[in-house]
Amino acid sequence: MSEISLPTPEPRLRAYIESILVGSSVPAAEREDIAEELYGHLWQRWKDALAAGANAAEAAETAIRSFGEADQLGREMTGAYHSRLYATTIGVLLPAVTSPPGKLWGFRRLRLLLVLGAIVELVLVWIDLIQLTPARAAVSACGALFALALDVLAYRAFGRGQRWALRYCQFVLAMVLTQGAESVFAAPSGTYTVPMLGLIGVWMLRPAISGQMADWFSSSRTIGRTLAFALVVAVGAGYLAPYAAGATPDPTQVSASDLNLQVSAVCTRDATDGVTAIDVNTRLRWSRLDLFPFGLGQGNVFNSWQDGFETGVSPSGGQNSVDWRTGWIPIPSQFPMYLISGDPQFTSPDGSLDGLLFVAPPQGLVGLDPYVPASDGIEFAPGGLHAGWTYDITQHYEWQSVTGLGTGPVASDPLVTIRYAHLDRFVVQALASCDRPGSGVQMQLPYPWASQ
Amino acid sequence: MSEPQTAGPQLSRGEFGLLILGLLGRREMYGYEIVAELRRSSEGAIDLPEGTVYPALRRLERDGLIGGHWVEVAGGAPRRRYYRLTTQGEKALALGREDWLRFKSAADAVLGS
Repeated sequence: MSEISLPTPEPRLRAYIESILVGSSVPAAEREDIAEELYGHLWQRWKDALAAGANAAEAAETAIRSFGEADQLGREMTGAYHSRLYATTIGVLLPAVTSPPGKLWGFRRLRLLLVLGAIVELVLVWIDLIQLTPARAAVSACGALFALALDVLAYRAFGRGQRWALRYCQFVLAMVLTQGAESVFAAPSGTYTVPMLGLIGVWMLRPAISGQMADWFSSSRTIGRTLAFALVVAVGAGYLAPYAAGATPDPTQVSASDLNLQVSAVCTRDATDGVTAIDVNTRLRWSRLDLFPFGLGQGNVFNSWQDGFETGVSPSGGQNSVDWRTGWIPIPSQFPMYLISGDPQFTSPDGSLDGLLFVAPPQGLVGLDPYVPASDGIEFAPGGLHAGWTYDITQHYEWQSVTGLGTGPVASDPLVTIRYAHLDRFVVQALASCDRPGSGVQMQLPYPWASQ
Repeated sequence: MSEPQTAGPQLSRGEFGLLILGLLGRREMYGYEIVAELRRSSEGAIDLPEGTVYPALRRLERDGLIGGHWVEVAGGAPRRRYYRLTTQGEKALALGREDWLRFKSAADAVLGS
């Protein structure tokens, strides 16, 4: 009896095996062996089904049905090589290597977009580390590293024909085009901006939306709603991280509660009980100092005079305190003035910083803003101070009439105001009057200094 | 009153691996044979999708418990990959069997069989 020639089941079985492996993440070196082994099993099952009376096509379907669901087997195969977490995340996003697309038009161009994206993210990580305070740098750099990892993953998945990578690429492209358009429309009138980003985006637009590209990705497995949602969250996190960093309280930086500011005033009175002289004593003490306040790239140094210390004596008892250093509201001509007479004295616990803050202290009218009640301000480097040390600043004010401004009654209860501004971050103010000391409290920003 | 829910044998990854080791402890086998033998030995009680045996075999091989080698087959059939226990696999099987018997006797005591 001659043997009947049966149609070969190989194409159907091979296609099924491919559908298992395309959804798995197995080492490329073992892929062929695995395919061969699975084919051997299916072939034998096919033969058994034939022997049981099925026709060739039915036998092939029986073999496939008894073998199991391709998606599930692909995941299990991934699990044989990777951890469960990897198998359910990266293993799904980055399944087995497929045949390269050959000369698919625009393929390299779109991958270049992902490479550029990764380079930008790397630069952002570097900038964050240099410029931001430690906790903020960590938040922002984490976001950028996250986006970088996603870029690398998308780059690899793009080469393996994963549709999610094409969608990611299209999203990045949309962002690039938006930013390019924004740079054109945001340019000041009369100026011309070359939107380099936008031009790159336009160059990459056609392949990103071409039908040929969509065809190549059409056989990709879906990644599931949960993973798709996680991807959207991850992309969003990458973009939002710089904003989150800005809003993150940085525990490595001091706050107003770390500054203890105390002020007291001792007044000298004349026969009419008017105050003719005031001795102001300010004590300041930092419980700690900032760590890398200008970013890791700047080192832990305060290389400029960034803190502001300002004192003022208002004869009106504070009624005109809103005019503090505004510089634009003239003092009424009859307004009496207290002027600094004698050098303000700064003393530190070990004497090393004595006089440092007021190396050229104003005396009399020197350095005095003519539009403001008696006041004096100075900027200095907070890095020169030591945490835990108490510093004393003493100033002596005497009532004087000022030529051109006229004279007025001597105030009976002038108000002393001390303001300490730390970098551009916060201002602490302490108020005192004769024999009534005061403690520092944080002021609301924006502070008048900031608007000048 | 509703009928109590019953379920067939639910094998964990470790139990499935132990069963495969047990079969390979008898002689070397290839994937299709392992599936058939598993079904026959369990009298059909263990009837998993056949493809699931291959991820399990790969895992055991990566763990160094079994070793595989290709064997050519006459008559135009695809070649087969046979597996056998390694020394480490024999030890794992002995330990696994011991644990299983201890578990079984404890379960029997609890369930009153």
